[in-house]
Amino acid sequence: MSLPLPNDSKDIVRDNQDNYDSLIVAVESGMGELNLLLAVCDDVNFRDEIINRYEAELKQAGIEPYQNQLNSRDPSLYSALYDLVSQHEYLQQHQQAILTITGADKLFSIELLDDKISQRDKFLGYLQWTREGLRDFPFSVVMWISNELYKLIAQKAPDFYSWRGGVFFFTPPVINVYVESEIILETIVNSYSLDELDSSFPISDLESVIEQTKDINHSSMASLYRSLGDAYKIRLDFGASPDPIADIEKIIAAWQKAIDIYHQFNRSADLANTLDRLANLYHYNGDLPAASSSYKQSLTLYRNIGDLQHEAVTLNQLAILEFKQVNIPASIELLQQSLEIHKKIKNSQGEADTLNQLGSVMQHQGSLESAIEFYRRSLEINRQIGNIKGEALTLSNLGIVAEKWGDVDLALNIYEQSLAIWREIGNIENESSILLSIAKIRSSQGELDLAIDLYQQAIKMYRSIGNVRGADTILAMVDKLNSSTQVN
Amino acid sequence: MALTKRERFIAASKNLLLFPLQTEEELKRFHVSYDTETLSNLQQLVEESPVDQCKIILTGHTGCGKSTLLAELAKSYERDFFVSIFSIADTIENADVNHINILFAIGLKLLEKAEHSNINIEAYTNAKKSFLSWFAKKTKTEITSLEGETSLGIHLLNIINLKLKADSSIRTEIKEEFKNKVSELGNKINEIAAVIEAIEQKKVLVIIDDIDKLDLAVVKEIFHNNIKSLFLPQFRVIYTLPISAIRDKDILPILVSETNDQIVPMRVLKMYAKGESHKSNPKPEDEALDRLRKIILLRLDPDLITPDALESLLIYSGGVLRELVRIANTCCRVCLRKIRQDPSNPDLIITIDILRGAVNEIRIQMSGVLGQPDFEILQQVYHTYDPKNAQSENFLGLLKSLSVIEYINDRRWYDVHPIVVDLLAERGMLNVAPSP
Repeated sequence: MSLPLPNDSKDIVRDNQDNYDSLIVAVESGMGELNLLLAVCDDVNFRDEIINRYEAELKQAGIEPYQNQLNSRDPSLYSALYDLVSQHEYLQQHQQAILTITGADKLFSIELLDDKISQRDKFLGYLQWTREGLRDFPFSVVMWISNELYKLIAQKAPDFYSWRGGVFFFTPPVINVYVESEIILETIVNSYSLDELDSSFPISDLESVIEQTKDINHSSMASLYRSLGDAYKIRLDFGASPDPIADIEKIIAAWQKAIDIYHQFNRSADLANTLDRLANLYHYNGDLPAASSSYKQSLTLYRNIGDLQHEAVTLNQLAILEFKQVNIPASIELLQQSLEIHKKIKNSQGEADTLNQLGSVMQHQGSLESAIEFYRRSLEINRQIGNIKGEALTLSNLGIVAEKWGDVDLALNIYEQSLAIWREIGNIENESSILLSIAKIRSSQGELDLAIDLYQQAIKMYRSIGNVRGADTILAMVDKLNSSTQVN
Repeated sequence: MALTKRERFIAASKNLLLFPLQTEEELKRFHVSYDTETLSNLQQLVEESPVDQCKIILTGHTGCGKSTLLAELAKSYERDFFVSIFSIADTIENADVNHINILFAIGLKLLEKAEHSNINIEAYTNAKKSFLSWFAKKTKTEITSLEGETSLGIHLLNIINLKLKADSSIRTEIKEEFKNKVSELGNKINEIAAVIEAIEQKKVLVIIDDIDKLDLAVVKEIFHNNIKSLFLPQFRVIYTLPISAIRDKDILPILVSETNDQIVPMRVLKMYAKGESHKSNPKPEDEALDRLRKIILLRLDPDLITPDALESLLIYSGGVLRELVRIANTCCRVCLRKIRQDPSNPDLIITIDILRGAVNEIRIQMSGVLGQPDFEILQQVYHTYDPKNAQSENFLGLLKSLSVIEYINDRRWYDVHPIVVDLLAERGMLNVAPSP
């Protein structure tokens, strides 16, 4: 009676698109009734991207979007919806609308101070109990949750779960990692949005909870320590730290504590994830041996639990470290391993990114033909999957190789193509870098006026993003050029 | 003008609602007498038991159709009984549900129903006034402004309902106040019911849905430790209870003795005779297929699905109504998605391929919540039709999430949900019997 199983390893991009399309048709076909939709995503930025996209599309179709966050003190879905409806006459008239609810993944899983139950348990208790009440809201409701919370909802709020009108899984594109080239600098630290800074748990609260509960021997203590490390990290990333060096030590201490507890309770996936965070921090601070050691531990864990996607990403990170330590053959070997995995799990973007990295490594060791071949393959995949940022990066790198190769016309042509994309994306930093490369060629071709004009555009851009030092350096170059034109 | 395929799939998707059929309109359009045996069992107990012993427990799987069946039962008694049907989940917050609050809710719901029936006889008005004033006094609620008015009407009941639902201090006060005086509360409720029965010349029947959503520990506190208080009302009451409660060695004997063994299990339609589904060419039960087919074809036009896809869809439901509706709805959504992605295909209907895509989506949802211990239990159930430990938390969780389905004919047996069977197959666990 079984139907043949489809291929499980779907391409992430196509999968996300299918889930997006399914979400749209679920909303469109569920108008006029309560339609409980669960959207699952672990990446806040990617989630917001999707919310923006469907809200814009549905608004065009006459379905008004509304958003609300769960109140962490009283995290009831019913209340979040009730508040929205009571604020908007449009909703009181039961017109076509989509209600997006976020904030569930920020609920604390451990009891705080005087609370009898944790925010998360309270939320789950409410969910299990409020199905009938929710029928007061004849709208499509999209509630955003993490993968971990999805599992908990199914277990702890089974009745609510059984009323789900659909579940839509969104996997963020694999973290982009690029080898530094002459023009492209991609930071690989975890990035946090301003939104997170506002709503992250206050450090003092976390510390006081930890102080009260530190003797409890329970795996949830690990997430508490991890959150504390995260909170310090966010403060650091946003320049809000009173003493950055002390904060870095506190982050390391907190994450290390989480790592010890996860280790004790055999929580492999969490352990690996926290090791990655720690490794990223070491990497960012230039402690390459420590970073390498942490990545190697997480790599072993990912291999043990069969998490191919993270295994591949960690291989990419290790490759960067080897590259920075001028161990080129090891770097190439790691990238080749990663490439095989990306291919196996049909992660096209990961494949394209890794090819791009391989190109960079080849380029740096002077194997220009191999570099061109890797870049060419990366470009092809990026274009196929419509990843324009990857396309621009690869083009930029190809431009550099062409320039080194001595084919300046080709280099100019490629730079112009990448310039157009960086402009479209709005990445000022890379746009100005490319302008500089073009200016440099024009200058060497004797087209000094054109070069000066390009430099001046770049100076404006650097200033607009607050890169004063960069602007001053270029200004000095312009002055030099100006004086040489006057001499001539 | 004829509807487009897209419009027809949207209409079908709207029809394939997961929620219980409750309004008269919904029942009229989509209701199929699905479990006449359970319905007539319930009717027999309601009609034939002595009033003071008539406490009935209805139990069954999540999504097996209990709420719809209770709505149908209530409707069938509209003329002959004074029926009050309500969801406890809609009345009291779960943290505060106990036997006292349930009794209190019964009293309020009877009054509410009487208000809607426009009973306006002095005897009733006095009884109501007495109950409400008594409520106010006991819970120190300010209703003095309304006292003395000729009608303490729906408005006040709404206020009290809202208070009961949203104000935890009121619920705590009620619990505290009546902790040692439950019989007083029972008497008041019986007083109201007696007045209503006398005026309406109908017997009172109260149906309380959704008690089965409570955690087992709470159910135990109510139905094990306080069942005598809960059963104080001298009129007919039907309660829904989770399957786990009647698997519990402490709760079951008490339920049996206190209800006089009036426990009605609602069955899931048996798609196969035991053992048949594991054969290479299993033969499903025609009667079950016929009923499920009828349910689907009231909601989905037959020309929107190929006959072989329809038959497979019925089998994939495992006989559970909500799952049947979920799979059919997901099929419609897959079609809508395909139309969105390629609007040039006007002949699209639900085929085996579309069904496969829909089933795969549900399989991904289900697999996301299962861990290794769950798979081991599933493997055990698949091979022996019985869990090693039917009271283990993991097993009860699987039963609740419908990964395991309970079938009852002459005796009780279990099987793995057809979609989950595929997950076992993927892991190579079907051909290997578990270690004893």
